[in-house]
Parts: sequence; structure tokens; C-alpha cells
Amino acid sequence: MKAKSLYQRRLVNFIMLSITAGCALFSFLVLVMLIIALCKNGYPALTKTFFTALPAPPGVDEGGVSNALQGSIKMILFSALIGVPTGILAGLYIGELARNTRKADFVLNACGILSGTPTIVTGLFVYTLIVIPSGHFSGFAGITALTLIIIPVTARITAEILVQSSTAMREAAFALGASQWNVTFFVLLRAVRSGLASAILLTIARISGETAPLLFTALNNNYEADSLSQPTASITVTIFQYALSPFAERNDIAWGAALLLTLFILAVTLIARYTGKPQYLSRPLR
Amino acid sequence: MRYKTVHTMNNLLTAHFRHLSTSEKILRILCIASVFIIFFVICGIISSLLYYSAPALKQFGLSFLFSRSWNPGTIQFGALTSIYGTMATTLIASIIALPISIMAALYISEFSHPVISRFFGTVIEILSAIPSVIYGLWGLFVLVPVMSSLVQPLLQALCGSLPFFKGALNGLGILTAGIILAIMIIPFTINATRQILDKVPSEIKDASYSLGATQWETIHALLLRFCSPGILGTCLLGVSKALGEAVAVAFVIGNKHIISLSLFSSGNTIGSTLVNEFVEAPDKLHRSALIELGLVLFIITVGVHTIARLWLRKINVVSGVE
Amino acid sequence: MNTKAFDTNNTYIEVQNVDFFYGKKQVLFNNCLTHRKNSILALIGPAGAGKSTHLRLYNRLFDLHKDRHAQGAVYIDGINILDQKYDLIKLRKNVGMIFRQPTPFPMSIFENIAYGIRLHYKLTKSTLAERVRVALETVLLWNEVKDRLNGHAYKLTPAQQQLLCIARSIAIDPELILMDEPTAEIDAISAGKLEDLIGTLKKKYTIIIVPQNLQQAARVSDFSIFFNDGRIVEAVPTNQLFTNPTNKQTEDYITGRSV
Repeated sequence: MKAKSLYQRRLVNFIMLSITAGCALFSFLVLVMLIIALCKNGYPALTKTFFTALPAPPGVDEGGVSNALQGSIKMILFSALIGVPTGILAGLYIGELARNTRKADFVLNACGILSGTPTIVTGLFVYTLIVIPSGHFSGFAGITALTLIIIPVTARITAEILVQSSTAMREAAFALGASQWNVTFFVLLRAVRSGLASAILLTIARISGETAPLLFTALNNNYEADSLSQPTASITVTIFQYALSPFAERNDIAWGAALLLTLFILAVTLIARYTGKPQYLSRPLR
Repeated sequence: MRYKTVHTMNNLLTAHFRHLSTSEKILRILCIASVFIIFFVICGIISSLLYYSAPALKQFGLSFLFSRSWNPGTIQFGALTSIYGTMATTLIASIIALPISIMAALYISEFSHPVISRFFGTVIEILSAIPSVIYGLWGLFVLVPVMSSLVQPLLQALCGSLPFFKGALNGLGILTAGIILAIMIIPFTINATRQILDKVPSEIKDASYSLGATQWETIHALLLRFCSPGILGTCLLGVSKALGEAVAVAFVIGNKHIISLSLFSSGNTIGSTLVNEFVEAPDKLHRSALIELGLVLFIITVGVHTIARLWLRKINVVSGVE
Repeated sequence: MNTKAFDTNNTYIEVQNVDFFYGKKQVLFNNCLTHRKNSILALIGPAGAGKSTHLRLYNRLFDLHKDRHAQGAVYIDGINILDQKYDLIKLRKNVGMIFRQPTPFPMSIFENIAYGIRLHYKLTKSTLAERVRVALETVLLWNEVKDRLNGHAYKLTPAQQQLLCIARSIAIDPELILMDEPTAEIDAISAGKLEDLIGTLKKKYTIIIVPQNLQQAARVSDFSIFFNDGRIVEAVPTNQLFTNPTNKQTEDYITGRSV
């Protein structure tokens, strides 16, 4: 009977440890490189005109992205206001009203399909739904696209959190004679509110980075949009179009906008992480 | 089937409401309405994409999928180059990203000190929150120069005789797009793999360590065995993410409707073509062809995604890996 | 409270002034004991007294959690295993452990036992099979499973799974076996058989057990340690503990009064 060499076993362990650590380190390096590039290229562009001025014609140095900032804020805000409650309601249906039934399963599967749908396809759908009939791109179409992206994600997260929440607690509440309404809003949602809040923050962080669906719906606009029924500029579409522009000052503005967007998303993500997020409930990649 | 649906709706709308107070009725109606929005979107996507791609479907039929000519000038549209580009970039991304993510997940979940593990948790969280347009921007201005000045010449010098590494070294192309995609799906697959790894009961791991196994022996002989079906599922999910990605790829792939074996050659994916051409498409048939491309993308992505989900469900990993 | 040896000759294990910490929280205080070869030591005491924590000193399983650490010394056969330089692999090969919940690996019965053997030895197929057979025979499981060695271990009953885990441990020739409430998840009849098995195992191995209840301690163990709040209150031969406890706390616990 031959004993294996302890030295060899430990050596293999160490080699694998190093390789796997290297892979983890790679992800960290990517983040460092991203942040360095964003700060180096983006910071100089963040001047006062950047925030206050309208886009300048190509080749002119005095442009800003004030309209895109406004457009983004409006569209994200409105779509979150509509999408998050709707998503939570759908999640309530799956996780509470139809808990553990085939109906709930069916709806959950539908949400699964939607969460597997590329957002660009959702954008195409809203284009055919609103842009073609109305004849022009509009902020409303953008809001619709973002809303439709939020709903299934929020529904799934809500349902998941509710399913994980304790059965005993619900039963105790019902045993006291509480109504469904009461249990839902004063027991269930209360118990899971921190998890839910952070999940919603992550969802908002996620839609604020959406580009393709906005490109097909809100498009862009070089002027202050009077109303959301007109094409509406957004930060992400501005980054996309300015980055591919041949003019250097537009590239600079794209970097500035990218830095701004990243800082926003970073802040929201970190807030979400420290408001009691369930483990690894991270935003799926788009 | 139809009868059953009607029956279900009846159930929803009447039977359940009999003993409920007004506020609960309202809650129920609101919930059910929200659920219907979800179904409306799914049905809407399928029917509207079908409806608006009808002209192209009629014009080109099945040959749309197999024709490699895409020419708005002569109104000739075939999806083969885009499908090829989508597959090729996703394949490259998977080859790069999946081993790295699995290894990194093993390190973070099994090898590392809890403090380091938490640190990487935050890193991964941030990386997966960064939007694709920023990865694209970074790819175009940082990665592309590195590719053209370093990676591509190196690859050509090392194995330039292979058909994969021929052509102009401008930094754009399928390989670069694949790398960007890989970088984008790595955080996602790390997270998903960690979720699978964390499902292994700690008693089982303790038992292995108490037999005198090293960490790697435990991972290799026990964890990977325990988790490989789940990891396979998460890999598929990662692949479906890569398939559906549009904007970042559009920055760096070069956007030409050609099929070339060379990884340095420009190309296009379904997503990048849509992003580049859709807004400017003046011609109705062009737009219709693009929408049909969108339909193809929808089918491929949702197909892979659904297979992955069904698989994960079959092996009992029900919850939110996605 | 320092507790002296039962028997200063023939000492196999000697624990000297061990303190144990979960992060900053101390859970074991100045544990001292000695124990001799080929006998069974039971750790008894109320829930949360630190029995399982103490048990995990002997194979340093707490090392898996970086926030836990122990101070003091634990000598097994004269070597301090708490010494950071002491080889964990060697230690754990020498010290088997059985958990509260049966922990079969998700593989076949044969593979489960071969897993441990393969970690430590390079063997030909036939010697490997032979060792697996011997291990299963020792725990009296061989006759039940010899026709389905390639069947999945999860298909066994909990009691059989626990026996499998014992077989897996003894297949790599340990000297000391730690058992953390091994019968907790098992029906009463099988638990009785397992207790008998533990009695026979002591001919070859030294055993430290956290018993499921006092009766079990009385049935299987030679010596008992009474724990309370992380401190060793009393250490006596088991029969003496029940008939003639010297310490008030122990007496209260054994007679069912609150400690």
C-alpha cells in the first residue's frame, strides 16, 4: 500500500489556488482598468457647460448634455414609477395570491421568458407598438420600453423574496384573522421591505444603463424636448452616438457622460448592497 | 386547451372573489392586471415581430436564413452573416469567459478568506452593474488599440499560418467583440456559479475535509461532481446573455456584412446590425428584414435561455440564478 | 476550573488549557482533560455548552472558518496538534469524524468509501475493492449492500448512510474517531445497533462522542466529561457520574433540574 506524497498533494492544491486566484484577480483588474479609463478620459469633460449646455453642432467645442440628462432622469423616473409597482403586484400574484399553484408557475415561466428576451427585442416591440402607429420617436415610447423591462424583473424578484419568506409568519397573521390585504401590506411586504428595496434599486441601476431599447424608441434630440411626446435624448444613447462620432470633442463628451453614468450606477449599486440585499441577488447582465 | 384557458380566467375573475371585501377585490384585480401585462408583452413581441417581418418573410422566405448577401442598395437581405457573427462572437466569449468565471467562482467561494471573498463579491457586483454601452466605449477606445498594437500582431506572429489570424490588424473585428462579450458575461457567470456552489451543504464539505482532503481535492472530487449539472446550466444562461448583447458589440465588431474565417476580420451580429441600421432604415423592406432579424434573435436567445432554465429546474436549482 | 486526569498512565489525548473563540466571542474556557487509548469518552452537558465546538478541536475542523481560533494545546500521542505547523492532512487522516447528519457524498456506495482511500493511497483496483469490503464488513453493512455497491448512496436509509460514513472514516485507518450525535437522525432501533457497533469499535479505535442523550452516554461510554458554558465541570468514569456525581451542577443536570 503506497501512501500518496503529502508534498505533491499540497503542491497541486497550491497551484490550483494560484490559478483560480488569478482568474478572480482578472475580474478585479478589469474593474480597475475600466475605472482608470473612465476617470482619465471622462473627468476633464465634466465642466459646467457639460451639465448646462445643449449639444453643439459637430466640431464646436461648447456643447453639453443638459437635455440628455433631463431626458434620462425623466424616462428612468417615470418608468420606475409605473414599472416597479406593477412588477410588485405581479410578484404578489405569483408569490402570495396564487402561491404554489400551477397558475403561479405559469406566470413565473412567462417572466422567465421575458427576462431571457434581449432588451433590444423589447425595444423593437415598442417601436412597432408606439413609434410606427404614432409616426415618430418619442419619450413616451422610451418610457414604455423601460417599463416593460422593469416589470418582469421586479415581478420575479418580489415573488422569489416572498416565496423565501417564512410560511409560519403568514400563517400566524392569517390565524389572527387578518385579511389578505392586511397580511400582504402590513406583514409580508414589511418583512421583506429591505430586500425588496435593494432589489428595486438594482433594477433601476440596470435600466438606467439601457441603450438599445431607447435608441429604437426615444432616439435622440439635440434640443430641449418640450414634451415626452417628442424624441427625447438620453445619456446612454448620447454616449453611443458621440463615441462613434469622428469628432474628438464629441468623444470627450461621451467619456464624460459615461463617467457620470457609472458614478450614478455605482452609487445606486452600493446603496443597494448595504440596504440588506439578499445574497448575490445581482442584476443580470444586459 | 382554449377551453382550459377560459376556465382559468373564469376562476380568476369570479370564483375567487365571492367572499372578499372591496379592498381585497381591488388588490386581486390589480395583481391580475399586472400579470396580464406580462402575457400581453410576450404575445405582443411574437405577434408584432411576425407581423412587421411579414414583407421580408414573403419576399425571401426561408432563404433569408441562408443567404449571405445583405445589400440595402439592391434590396437583397440575408441573415447568414449576422447569424454567423452572433454565433462566432458568442463562441469566443464562452471559450474565454466560462473557464475564467468558474475558476474565479471556485476561488471566491472555496479558497479565499471571507474578507477577500466579500471584497470580490463587491467587485463582481459593480462589474455586473456597469452597462454595456460603457463596456463598448471602453472596448473601442482602450481595448481596440491594445488589440491592434499588441494582441493581433502577437497572435499573427505565433500562429499566422492559421486562417483564423489573417487580415488587417486594425483592432476591430470578431475576436475583439468576443473578448468584450467575455468580459461582460464573466461577472454574471461568476455570480451564478457561486450560487450553485453555495447550495452544497456545508456538512458534506466538512465531511470531505475531515477525511483529510485538501481544498482542491474537495473541489475536484466532490464539489465539481456535485455542481457540474448546475454549472452547465449557468454557463448556458451566460451564453444566452452573450447572444442577446447588442450595443457593446456594435462598437468594436467593425460592422461589415461578410463571413470570414479570420477572427481579425470585421463582421456583424444580429444585435449590432439592428443597432446600426434600424434607425436609419428608410426602406420598408429593409426595416422588415431588420425586424425579422430581431425575431431570429428572439427565438435563439429565448430558446437557449429556456433550455437553461428548464435544465436548472430539472436538477432542482429553482431559484434566481438569472 | 481545572480538571485532572482520570488516569495518568497510558495517556493518549491530553488537552491543556484550551480557550476557543468565535471571532471575539470566547466559547471554551480553559478546557483540560486527558483520555486513554481504546476507550470511549462522552461529552455531555446542556445545549450550547460547547460540546461540538470542543469535539472539533481534535481534527481542527474549525480551521475551515477563518474567524475561529483556539489557544492552548491538544496533545494526541504526545504531539500538539494545535500547533500551526502540524500537518492538517496527516491529522485528519488520523482523526475520523462522524456528523450529526449522515453525510454521504453524491456518488455510489463504493465511490463513497473509495473517496477517502484514494485521497491518501495509491492502490490497485483489487486492493481498493478489498479495503472497501473490509470497511463495510467492520460496520456490518457489507451484507446489506454487497449487491449494490454501484448504487447511489442517497438511496440508503439514514441509518445505513450513517454506517456508510463510519465505514468511510475507518477505511483510512484513523486512530481516533469523533462522533457528533451520530444517532440524532436515526430511528431508535438502528440507533441501538449503532451503539453496539460503537462498543465494538473501541477495540481498535479511541472514540470521543457527543451522545444524543444521557442514556446513550451511560450505555456506550467509559468516561464522561460534563460541560457547562464552555467549561469542563466534571470528568469521571461514566458509571460514577450517574451513581455518585460529586459536583452539584452535574447532579442537577443529570437529575433534570436546571443547571
